[in-house]
Amino acid sequence: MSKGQIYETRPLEFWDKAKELRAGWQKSIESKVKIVGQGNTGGFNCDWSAAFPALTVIEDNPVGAMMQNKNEPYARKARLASEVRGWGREICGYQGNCWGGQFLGYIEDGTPWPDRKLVVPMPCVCDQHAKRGQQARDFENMPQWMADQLIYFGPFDEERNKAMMEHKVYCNWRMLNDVERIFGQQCDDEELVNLISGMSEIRDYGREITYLMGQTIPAPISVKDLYSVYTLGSLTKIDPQDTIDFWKMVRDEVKWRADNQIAAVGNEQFRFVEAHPPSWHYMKYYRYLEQFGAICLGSQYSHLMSGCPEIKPDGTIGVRDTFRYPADTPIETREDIVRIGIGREARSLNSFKMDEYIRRDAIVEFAKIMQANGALLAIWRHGVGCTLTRKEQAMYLKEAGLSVMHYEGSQPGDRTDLDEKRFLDQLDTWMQSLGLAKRAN
Amino acid sequence: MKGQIWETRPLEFWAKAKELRAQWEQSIESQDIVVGQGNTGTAGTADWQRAFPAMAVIEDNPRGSTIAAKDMAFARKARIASEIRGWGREICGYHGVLWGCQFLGYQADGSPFPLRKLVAPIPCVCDSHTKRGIQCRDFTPVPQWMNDFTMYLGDHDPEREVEMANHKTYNILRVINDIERIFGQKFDEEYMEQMLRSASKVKEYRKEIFLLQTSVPAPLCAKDLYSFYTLGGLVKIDPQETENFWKSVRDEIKWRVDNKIAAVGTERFRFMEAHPPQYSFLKYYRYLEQYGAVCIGSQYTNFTAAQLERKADGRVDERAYPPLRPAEEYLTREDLFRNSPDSDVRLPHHFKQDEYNRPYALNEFADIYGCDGAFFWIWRSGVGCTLTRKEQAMRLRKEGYSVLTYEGGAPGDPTDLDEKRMLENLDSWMAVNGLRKYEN
Repeated sequence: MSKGQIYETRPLEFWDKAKELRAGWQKSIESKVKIVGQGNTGGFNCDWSAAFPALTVIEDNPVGAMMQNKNEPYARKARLASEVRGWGREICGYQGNCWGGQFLGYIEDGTPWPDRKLVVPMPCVCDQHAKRGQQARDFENMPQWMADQLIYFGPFDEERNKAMMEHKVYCNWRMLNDVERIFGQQCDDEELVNLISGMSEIRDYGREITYLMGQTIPAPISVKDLYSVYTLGSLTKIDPQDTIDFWKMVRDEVKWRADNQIAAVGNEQFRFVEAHPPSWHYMKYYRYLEQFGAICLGSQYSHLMSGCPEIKPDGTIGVRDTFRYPADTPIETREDIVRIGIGREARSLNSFKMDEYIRRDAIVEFAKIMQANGALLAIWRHGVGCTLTRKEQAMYLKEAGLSVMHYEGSQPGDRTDLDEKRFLDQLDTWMQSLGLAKRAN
Repeated sequence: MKGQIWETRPLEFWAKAKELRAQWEQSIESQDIVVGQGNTGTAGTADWQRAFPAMAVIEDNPRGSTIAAKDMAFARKARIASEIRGWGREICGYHGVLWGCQFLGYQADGSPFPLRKLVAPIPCVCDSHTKRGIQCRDFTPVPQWMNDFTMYLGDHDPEREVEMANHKTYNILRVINDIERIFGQKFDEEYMEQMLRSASKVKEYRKEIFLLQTSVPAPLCAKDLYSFYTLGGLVKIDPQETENFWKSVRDEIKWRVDNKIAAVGTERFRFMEAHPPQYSFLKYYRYLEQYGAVCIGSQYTNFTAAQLERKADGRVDERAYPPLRPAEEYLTREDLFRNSPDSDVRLPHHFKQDEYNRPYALNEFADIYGCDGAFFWIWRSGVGCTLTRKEQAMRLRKEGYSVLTYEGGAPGDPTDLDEKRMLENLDSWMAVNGLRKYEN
């Protein structure tokens, strides 16, 4: 037991399985037999590409993160290849890694870069996310599809939703049909239904994990643990049944740890939350803060998979009420599948970014659910779209009695502008101001 | 003047521009109107708010910039009032100025800040623009309407746009119908139709101006343009007055071109920009004029009019867009909005779309305007305006243009701008282009 330890702690048992699944995915995307795409979930709320027999849609992340982790000099070289083409801190550094791999033409072991054969960019005009697909298409001509990120603020509007929904259904339905036609592959509609319902099951496990993390002291896992596995089944596209089994396993273990007071951080005495992505390349700050007994419970971003929890009027914590199709809604045509996949609301309401407009104190509610004492909010230069409202949120958190610290960096996946030493000094000061002393192991 | 090559004269429409701006300033101070906080959905070709008898939808700009220009100390105070509420460089400094007035509760002259009675925010989830309306509503509960910024990348897809158009038309019709009901004001459809017809003419005048701007020497510079380019748009004035004004600008610019009257008498280096400049330090334009460098504008300065392109036969003209429905067919309220502001519902005129759809749009712009170089701002937090700036610089350099980039906090906020260093950079840029400063 280390000095200052209050709670028992144990390694995570799902870790080996997580590594195995990740390795399986890594291998699958290196296969030459598949059509490789660059895209996003396209509003299906599931990995629609798995319904095609030989199609893999690969996101810039976690490929970029993996490159960084495996071979830092190569990642830097790849990022430079992006930089000399004009891509700097306005894009995530991990995406810079991935784009650089494409520009260089090879991956870190020297094998050829798997060129994309289709792109499905995220529709957001003010945001680099749309460029993730677009630049691949700029690099080499290929088919492109794109939905719309429809939004409005305020209560659900049934009539308005109708027109928005038709528009989104058309976009997604057309993409499936076009992919069939162009690549000569049949979309397995039944598999698509399974994928959608599978995601619903995974979301339920995700919710339980979020509640257990927030409601249990000591927290059974920390956000650093979560970040190591949270892309499994989404950005890291693995077999749907394996995904369900994995997240059930995680839920079971987290529940067991919670029931038995097994802590992620044995000396937990300060709980904090974040907002948006952290400094990905320097996640050791989580470990550094653990020396003070400080544990990060995550953010609305890290818990995106589980939807947005809220405190109900009776004080219980539950999932937010959203408009859903009844469970017995018939699914007879591909169009029906597309509709069910989009969900009852055409706008993307679950996003934590929407909260920054329509539910400004949502971060305070999240902090309360997580029983947090403080918050660490990054201010990014160029921000990858993620800086707006960070200081406003800090105001609300401070009003609610939480201790908030900011730090500045260029953007989540690039260390260029982050002064790591200064950052750690700031963390020391923050902890000291809260009366917390570092404990040597 | 030493080094002068071209004759130059003051702009004659200047007095009229100032008069119109003053009238607008006065009009929004009236206490008998419903004051709203809006977005460009209320300007451009469909300034619907004017079709209500007693309503003014006021944008953060140019109000914020006017305050900053008139009373810098008060502007700073207002910006601090925003900053202590958590608004920093992620919003335009001028927005910070106006929001600050709202937080303080008074304007520079001590009069009460006119609280907004409705908001119509720009729909863009990654962008501070949406917050312009939202924060007013957060401050005082007021009705809110919002359209959608529908978009997709690639070629125009008429089939797809059927539902997009239905969706957008529904939204705007609902705003109009709801306002009638809530504020008891009748929407004047005939006046709206008149505005649409007038706006088409204004667009034609502006298109001509931007075509004339390709002349050497340039008859106007970006600094001139920034002084009046919001008239009839963000500065919401009478449609007939707007039409008359832009006609007078067109006529004078044409005369200047015909007679080789320059904006900058020493013009020998033409440069372009992208997105808003450092509004708080526009004197850099004057500084560069000492080198004979003139800024001819950007896609941003021109975007409310036509985007030009070089045609296959070498001519320069407006880009081809899907045709608008003939104006004679405005039969219902729905007709008024179905085809405005554009027939392509994803806003093809928008320069930001070009950054995805037309990677070489800036090179084309530079070619059309006979530019020698480009000056790009790299903003910290950027107000959504930094993505692709360096990519654009690369493409321009590839074709031989000299490009300088410079860093600042946000367009309307001088906090993070090192003015001295910036001027030194400009000196170096001019020097590498072989240009020396002329003394007056």
